[in-house]
Amino acid sequence: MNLQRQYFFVKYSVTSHNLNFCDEKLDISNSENGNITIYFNFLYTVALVIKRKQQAHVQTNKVHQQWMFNKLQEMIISLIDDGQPYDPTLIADPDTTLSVEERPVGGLGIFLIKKITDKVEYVRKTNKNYLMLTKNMNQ
Amino acid sequence: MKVQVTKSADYSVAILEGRVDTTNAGELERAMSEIIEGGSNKIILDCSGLNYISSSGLSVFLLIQKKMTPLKGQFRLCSLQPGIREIFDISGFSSTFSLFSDKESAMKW
Repeated sequence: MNLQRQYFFVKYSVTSHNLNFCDEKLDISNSENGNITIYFNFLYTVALVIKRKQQAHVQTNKVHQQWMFNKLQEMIISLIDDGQPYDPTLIADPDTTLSVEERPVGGLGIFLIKKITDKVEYVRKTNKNYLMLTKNMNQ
Repeated sequence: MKVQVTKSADYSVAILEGRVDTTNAGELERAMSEIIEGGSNKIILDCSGLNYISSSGLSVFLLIQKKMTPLKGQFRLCSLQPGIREIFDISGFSSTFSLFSDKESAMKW
């Protein structure tokens, strides 16, 4: 499946306003490139997790998502809300070397998104939180 | 997501298919907990049909491992697809869990 087709899936999903349906549409597991499928699914799910955490934190449903590709073939997911300042990039990374007994359950979502994306940025401007996830799809 | 469990006298094999995410991670936890509570302390989770896992799914895997450890049980995962294996590597789970390339290897106790 080429990039243009994937872009279509993403664009279509965003405009559908139905998250479950979006997720299904992004599950392009029969595509030629399984890794890209994983990335799409993973990015999407983590974006949802972050969005829900933001919703819980800011007590508002006004969280907007924007998906786009730029000319460098970077996929950029932006999550924007107008709640209290909340920077998930400040969450400490889990210690992945701990034993089973020592290792706490959870805390992997934002860590994994940091690892599989090329850039995670947070900015606060005009009383809004902007979280941008960037993934270069050429890699 | 589908979990199909086969029990023998010595061990249980659970075949996991589909995707594990926030919507069904609890279902997987219940299914695996039932196996443990049923007395099995040797479990093989066949992941050949697992094509997606979220951080919620990873948490369930860790929970199961945590339940098995004090019971001196063995929880083995086999046949992870490359994309899933990559997530395991990033999260440090590759060294936390006993991973096997195929079910036959995992069944050699």
